[in-house]
Amino acid sequence: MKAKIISTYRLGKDQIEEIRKKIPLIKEAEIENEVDKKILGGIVIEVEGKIIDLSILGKLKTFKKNLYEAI
Amino acid sequence: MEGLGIDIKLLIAQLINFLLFFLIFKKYIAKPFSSFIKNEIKKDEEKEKLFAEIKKKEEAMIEEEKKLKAKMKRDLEEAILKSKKEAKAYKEELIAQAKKEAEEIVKKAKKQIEMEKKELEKETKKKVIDLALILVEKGLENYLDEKTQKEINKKMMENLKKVIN
Repeated sequence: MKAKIISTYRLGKDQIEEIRKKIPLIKEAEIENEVDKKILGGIVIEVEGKIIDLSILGKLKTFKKNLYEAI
Repeated sequence: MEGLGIDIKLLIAQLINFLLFFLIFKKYIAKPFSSFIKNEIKKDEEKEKLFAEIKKKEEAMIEEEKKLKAKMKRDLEEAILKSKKEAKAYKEELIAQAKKEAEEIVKKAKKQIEMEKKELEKETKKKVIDLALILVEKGLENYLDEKTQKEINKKMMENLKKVIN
């Protein structure tokens, strides 16, 4: 199983392991780290077609969606 | 009589002559003439009677004609009045219908304007939100250096379990 962690800077091994420990879904996965400054901060995890968005851009998108719904 | 100079014979002859003349006149002239006169009088009476009847009928006809004309006039006036009333009612109905349609159009237009206004407001708000978030994104892009991002990630990692759960 492969997983991708997108972050704004290259993550260290210890950080990747810390994430692996905290997210059971990627415990056994082969992890690839991709750098994308567009997410502004935080991380985005892609695994088995699922996306766990923990980025600042994701938060802004959720905020935007909530604002749209409030109109 | 002779002493008076009257000739008896002549007198008798004249009397007979007169009597004969009278009889002949009565029989052949006076009687037919009288009959003719009577006939004429009778005819005249009949004529008068007939004239009277004709006149009476004529008067009756004139009276009937007058009545008929009056009735026709009355009927015509009634018909005109009725037509006027109907025309007025139809006119009022048309005006009411037109007014109703106009009100409907105005109501519909107002509703449409209101909807468009709301839609415009919604679109404007969306554009304001989009613009505000673009500004926030651009601001964060410039503000968040690697050090700050690492701090954010550290905080996020600390709270990751809570986020996932």
